[in-house]
Amino acid sequence: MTPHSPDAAVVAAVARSIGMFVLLLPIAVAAGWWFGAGRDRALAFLAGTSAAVCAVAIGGLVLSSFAGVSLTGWLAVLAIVDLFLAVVAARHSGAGDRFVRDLARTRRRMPRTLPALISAAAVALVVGSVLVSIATAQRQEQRVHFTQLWMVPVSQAGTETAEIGVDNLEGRTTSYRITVSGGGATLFSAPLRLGASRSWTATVRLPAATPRELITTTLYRGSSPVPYRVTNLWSPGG
Amino acid sequence: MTALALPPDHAGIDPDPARESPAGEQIGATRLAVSAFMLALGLMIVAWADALARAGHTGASYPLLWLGLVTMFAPAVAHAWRGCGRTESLLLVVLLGTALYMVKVLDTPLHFTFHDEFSTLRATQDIQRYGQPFHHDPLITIHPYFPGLQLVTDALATVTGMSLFLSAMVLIGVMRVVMMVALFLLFERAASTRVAALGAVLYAANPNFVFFDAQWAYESFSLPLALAAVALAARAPWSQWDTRIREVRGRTSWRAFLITLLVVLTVLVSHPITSYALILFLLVWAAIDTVMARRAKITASPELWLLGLVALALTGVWTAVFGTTAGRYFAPLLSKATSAGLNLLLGESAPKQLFHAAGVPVTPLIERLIGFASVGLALLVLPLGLIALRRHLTPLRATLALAAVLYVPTLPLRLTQAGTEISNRASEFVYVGIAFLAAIVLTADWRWRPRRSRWTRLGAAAIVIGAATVAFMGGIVIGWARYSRIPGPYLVVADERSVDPEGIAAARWTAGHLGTQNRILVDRPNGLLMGSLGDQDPQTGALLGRPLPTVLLGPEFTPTTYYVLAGDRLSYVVVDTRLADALPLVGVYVENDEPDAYAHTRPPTVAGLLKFNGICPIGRVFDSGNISIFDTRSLTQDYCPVAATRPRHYSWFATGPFKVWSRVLDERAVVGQFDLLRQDPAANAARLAALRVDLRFLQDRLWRVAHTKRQGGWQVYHRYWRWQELDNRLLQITSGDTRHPIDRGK
Repeated sequence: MTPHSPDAAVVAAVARSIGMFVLLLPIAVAAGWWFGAGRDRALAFLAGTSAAVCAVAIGGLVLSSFAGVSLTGWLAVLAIVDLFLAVVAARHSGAGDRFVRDLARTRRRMPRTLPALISAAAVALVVGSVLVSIATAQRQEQRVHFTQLWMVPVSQAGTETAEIGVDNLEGRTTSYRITVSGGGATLFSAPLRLGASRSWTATVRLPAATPRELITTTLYRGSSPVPYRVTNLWSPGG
Repeated sequence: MTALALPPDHAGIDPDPARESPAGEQIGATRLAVSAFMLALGLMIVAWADALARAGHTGASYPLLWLGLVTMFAPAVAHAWRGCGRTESLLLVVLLGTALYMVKVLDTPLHFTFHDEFSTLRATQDIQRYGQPFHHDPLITIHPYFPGLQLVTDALATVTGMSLFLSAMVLIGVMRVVMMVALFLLFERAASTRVAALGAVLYAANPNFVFFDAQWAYESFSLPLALAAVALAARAPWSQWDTRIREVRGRTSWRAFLITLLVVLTVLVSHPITSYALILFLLVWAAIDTVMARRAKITASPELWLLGLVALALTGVWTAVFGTTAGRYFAPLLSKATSAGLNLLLGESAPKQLFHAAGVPVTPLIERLIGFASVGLALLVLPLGLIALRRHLTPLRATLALAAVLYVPTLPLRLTQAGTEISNRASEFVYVGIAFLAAIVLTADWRWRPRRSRWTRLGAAAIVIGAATVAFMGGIVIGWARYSRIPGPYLVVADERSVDPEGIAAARWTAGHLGTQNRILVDRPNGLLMGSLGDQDPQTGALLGRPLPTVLLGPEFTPTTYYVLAGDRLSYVVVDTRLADALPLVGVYVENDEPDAYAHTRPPTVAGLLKFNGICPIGRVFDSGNISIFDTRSLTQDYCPVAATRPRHYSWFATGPFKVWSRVLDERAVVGQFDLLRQDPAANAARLAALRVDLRFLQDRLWRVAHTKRQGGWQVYHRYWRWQELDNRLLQITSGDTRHPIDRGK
């Protein structure tokens, strides 16, 4: 698994998500207990989650007024809020015991097999929906094929040059022919063969002319004589 | 005469909600699991509809989308209507809210596509780049000044390492859960658990619930927090009407007050409209509480006043700091809506035809009927709900009822184009009241009671579920454009349907090759991409009365084109030739104020869009097939030949006569004569050389006038364009070759 593979990215994201929730969970729970709502878990959740989100927003606003937001700053904000609420929550620890007791009692009374099977089917359907949606969206994007051609002027030590480039987004290896012409002469010409999502760049010098002349870059695809992409620049004057 | 099906001793208020969910409460696990399964099944059908739409089968996908949505909503209504325990009701409400949020996620699972999401993205990227909010956002100028959402998303992305897209999806999902819990707790405090379940479920019928308030934008973040603030205040001991009426003064819980204040404060720095709505609600609630307390000869709740007034003061401070920006953003919207409304009232303009817009396929009749029916149902709920409540009013109930009544004045606004957005954006606020009244109507114990047979009960249930489903479907019809409900192939200026890989790649290319924050002229969908992913600054508006969109969409390169490009210091023009394929589905190609906005009758031509090609010194620096980018930075440089193909607008030259030193010259006549003689340069060489002196005199005069500040510099009367046109002709004489470079190669 390479560091840039999608799997690695997903693993990293999941690992960091766990880290984030570890940071946020105590805030939510502590705020709920602090509100003294151990007897009403919905209210505890609402107070806790709202307070956690709002503390992060206001903390970020305060942080940005002084040092600017950054990873260290965010961790500091979260740690301060966590610490403060954890101290307050410690005074209401009995609420946590009640919560665990209630949960255990609720579980004992709940029928298991049928609801569990139906719930599992529901989860499978949701996961399936997301996968179908992602797969079809990706397939739709892969159906859009195009090539980018550019010609951007660059000034280098008093000499006018241009960077020309081709980006192959055709979804497959493609052959091209590129020509740069101006003032009736061909300044550059080369065949290209680019793999999918690969790009090519080169630098050409723009000849000065008075009056200015149009320098055109033409990209042909395959053996077609019809220009596929065209860019142009005016030669430097004076 | 009616009576609510509520505990008679408290007129519907249960002072201790936890009493309804005693420890170990029996949850209808199978019932709940079946509801969850129906929600999941609906999601799968929606995913199928989306898949068909992406494959181009849009005809089949619309009915499937409706089937999926109804499969999700109708069983939830049935479940809530039947009534169940508190925990079960709460879980049902949360599951429905989350599942309906997933409809938007399934619609756009790969990247941002909604209009406001791109502006939020720009503002968040600026926070990441500079470490601070409040940087200029060219997409929605007001966004950076309400940075709550952007800051929290940045925190989530920075700490977890998730992408901004994933962080945004997670955060808005959490906020949706907060919203549903808040609604439930608010309605429960106002009435009962059954009303809470039904009310929260029916709130999903608000036109902006499924799509608009599911996007990553500041309202989706602040509305749940505003509801949470009201719910927390409603649950606080000091706001309890029932305990006070029994002469038991609720204790002042400063912890509850401070948490509520923290949430209110966050709303204030997150979204202007929501904060104004929240302050209004809190102050009206406090006022009603004071009046009712005086009548009942009990103590009013000072905490409600304190909360509302502190929120008002803080908003005042925030507005004082950023008021200019907010005012500049809202003033045109309100002014246009007001003038459009007055014009309508005075008969100076015809009402907007509902469900019709230029270039947009007509909404099917059945959908139009459902849309009207949903409005009718909402209007029906108002009197019935007020009748049901009249003997059971509390300050909180009265405030919710007032919020519902505000729905009525928002409806006429829909008859004007300018007022439609205001009316639509009011929905999510007024529907809090409407959903509450609807739930009250459905649970009220009406005196008229039909014979209670099994069939009667089934019939009543069918009517309730059917009406709720119609209201839900009608809300979507009213609130969200038909083409936007499903994904699919590219459509011309259709916001999320216009976001495609080519536009995204072009935007990313600009950030990598052109530098950032260039002033660019671009159409609406590409502007969203360029302004966020490309970090460019799309420009709109007009320059001394010349609209920028006309420069992009006009049929030819005119002096106005030149004048606006140079005068507004536009660095690049982004042209998407697909604009020529159809009329814009959102009604405009570039911005709301463009000429012929919402009334375009024909699209621009490809030749007109590509009119910049070959005009010296404009370079075409990028071409990806549909999208081209023209470099207009060096427009004020000279040495350009007179293009053979350049249109000659002699009327843009001054007619004079001007006294230049000892000469009296007519600029237009000199140029016209030069162009005439230029057609045969060999025969007219001597006369052309003589004209050189006149051209030089005129050019020098322009230079001097332009450098006298009193005269307005280059920006008046197209001076620079004229100067350059004269200079180009002088170059022709110097070089001796009057042919266009393209012609010379032949």
